[in-house]
Amino acid sequence: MRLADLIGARVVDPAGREVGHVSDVRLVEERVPGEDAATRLRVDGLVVAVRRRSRLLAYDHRPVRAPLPLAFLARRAAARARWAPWHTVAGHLPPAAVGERGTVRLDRAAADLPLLGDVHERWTR
Amino acid sequence: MNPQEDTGARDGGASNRRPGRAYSAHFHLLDRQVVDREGRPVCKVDDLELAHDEHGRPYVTALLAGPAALAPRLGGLSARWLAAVQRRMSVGGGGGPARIDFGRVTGIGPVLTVDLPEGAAGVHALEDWMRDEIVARLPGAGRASG
Repeated sequence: MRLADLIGARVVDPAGREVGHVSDVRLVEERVPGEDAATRLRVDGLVVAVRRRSRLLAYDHRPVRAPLPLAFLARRAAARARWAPWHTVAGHLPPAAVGERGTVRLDRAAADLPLLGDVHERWTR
Repeated sequence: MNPQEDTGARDGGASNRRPGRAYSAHFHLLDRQVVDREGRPVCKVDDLELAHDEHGRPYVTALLAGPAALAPRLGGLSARWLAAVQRRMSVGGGGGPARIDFGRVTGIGPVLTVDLPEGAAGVHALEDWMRDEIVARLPGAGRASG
């Protein structure tokens, strides 16, 4: 499996309805079980953009507070974006061919996922 | 960006892999320059290889570089075209992307620092082939600078 199989993938709810696409993937360093010093980079979750052609102005990973015009645009772009922690991913289908998109199936409706703007605040604490 | 990430972005790629640090794939990893421990450019991050842990959660096992890694990210006709060209021109190694074990990544910052054994990168197979088989045979190649 590759990161490219996830980024850009269609995101569907349990009923098969398309709710958006994967705009970004957040990764966190964690200790490798049984090894004192080693860490590994684990997929923490997916940023789901509901607009068809959105990369959320590349501010998926943090809130923008200044300058004000940029903060306004970033907030507007990410207003409806959702955060899908990896445990909400029920399944993943890789692209059928090079150049096509994979599919990520969620275990809940998009409305039950937190808004990206809300989890941003936790990420920055 | 949390404070830990901010620190990592300024420290120039020193060994900074610590539990709890978080990264955006787009912003912190993809397309970043990869350098060796002497700061020499190695490649750029075109994709990441993932595996699943004991709980089914994906984690990064390798950096992938080269056209074979980049093509799936492009999408549509561009992806198919690049993949076809890459297959046609692949040399050695079976045509897959160049791969650097993620355990060799010692720093994630403005650049990704990797600790590679001398001469073991194997990242630039096509570039090496072009140098040896094409450029080296051009008249005057032996007097070329650099």
